[in-house]
Amino acid sequence: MKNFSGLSLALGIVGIVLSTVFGILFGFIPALIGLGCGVAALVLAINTKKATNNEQGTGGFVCGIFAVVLGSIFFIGCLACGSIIKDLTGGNYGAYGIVGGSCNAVDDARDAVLDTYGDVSEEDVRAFNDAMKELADAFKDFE
Amino acid sequence: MLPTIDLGFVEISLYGPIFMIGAVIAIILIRRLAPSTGVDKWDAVYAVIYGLIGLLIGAKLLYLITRLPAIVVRFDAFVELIKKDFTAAINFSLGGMVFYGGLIGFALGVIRYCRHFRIPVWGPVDLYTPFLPLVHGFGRIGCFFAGCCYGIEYDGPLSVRFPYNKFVSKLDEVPRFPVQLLEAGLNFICFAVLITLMRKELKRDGSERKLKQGQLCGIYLTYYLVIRTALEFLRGDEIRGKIGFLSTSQIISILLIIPAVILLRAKNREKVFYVPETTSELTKTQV
Repeated sequence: MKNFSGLSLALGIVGIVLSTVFGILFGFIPALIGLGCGVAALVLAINTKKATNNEQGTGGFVCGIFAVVLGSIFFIGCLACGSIIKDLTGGNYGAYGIVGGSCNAVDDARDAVLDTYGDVSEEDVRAFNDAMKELADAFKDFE
Repeated sequence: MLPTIDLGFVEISLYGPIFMIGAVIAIILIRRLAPSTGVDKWDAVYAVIYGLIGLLIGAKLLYLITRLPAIVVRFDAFVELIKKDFTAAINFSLGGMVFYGGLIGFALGVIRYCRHFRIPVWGPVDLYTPFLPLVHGFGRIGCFFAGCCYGIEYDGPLSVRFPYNKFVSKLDEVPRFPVQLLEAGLNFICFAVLITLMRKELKRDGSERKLKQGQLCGIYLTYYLVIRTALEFLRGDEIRGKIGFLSTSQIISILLIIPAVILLRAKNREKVFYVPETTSELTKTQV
């Protein structure tokens, strides 16, 4: 069994940076790559620890765990956020982070709702839209 | 109930952290119990990590498989969706997880670790089995907070009126049966029973033990197949998929009856937590 301590540490650090910094900036794709780097770092670190009787590989092991956890958080968070924004605005925002425009879209959507309806909650807006739809359907039946 | 927590710069789904709490508690307990079962404490942790990687892949893969019929039937529309809205396409095909896929993936991950490092597989299998329902119970509590895996419409005692949930559109329309909490409770009962059985066996000498290798896993699998099949009738979320009148999970439960019976029968297997004394015995117990 070979010693991958350097490679696992490097992959773990790259995974953390991709998941957090690039995840916030560019969204779910770098977060997913960061998650993958974290998994690779963990596997290599475990192999190193087994080969060296737990004397080496701890850095890569710890960084790998952080990369996997942070990558999961930002991957799932960005995807969820991106899908909601689409529903609310019907626009072309995706889960592409600050640079991609998604993170601004939450504020844009909130501002759009407040401008149109004043100081009401999302639930009120939804209920209003549902009521208007029911009314429109009722008028169709009436016609 | 509380699908996400807003940290200011990112909104985190509560499901993940709650699941992680369960996983961390399980790993700590596994590491403490491992030496008494004959499993090296570090092997116990590393095999769990391999298992968790397999769990993630398996759960996502099985979710994709449940979505495949819809993708195949409307393949052109799916290709258009990828071109117009890649996020929505990823959400549709990989946005969820299926427990059975996770369970199978976890088992394959652990087996892979044991084969790679030439460790008898039954030790980790019997060691981890009581903690599977513990982690799953935490996961179901996470489901309750996230609003997924929700129950049928129900307006009786203990019914729950979920608040508006931007991730799950139909959740707040009607009061619902808290099937997630029921399954979590049943899982915690299973954990209590299995850990008690395990501790009783560990107190006995090797030759006096009543259970054989894999039977703890067989007991858990049989128990879960039965309760999951029953609980599926209390589930109200259509997204999990159906074939005929049976849900995907019920069909998988039926398919897993044979492995459960094989594990319970334990033919030609040693007593539970058997530790080989010689190298030749070690070779015999490897998968």
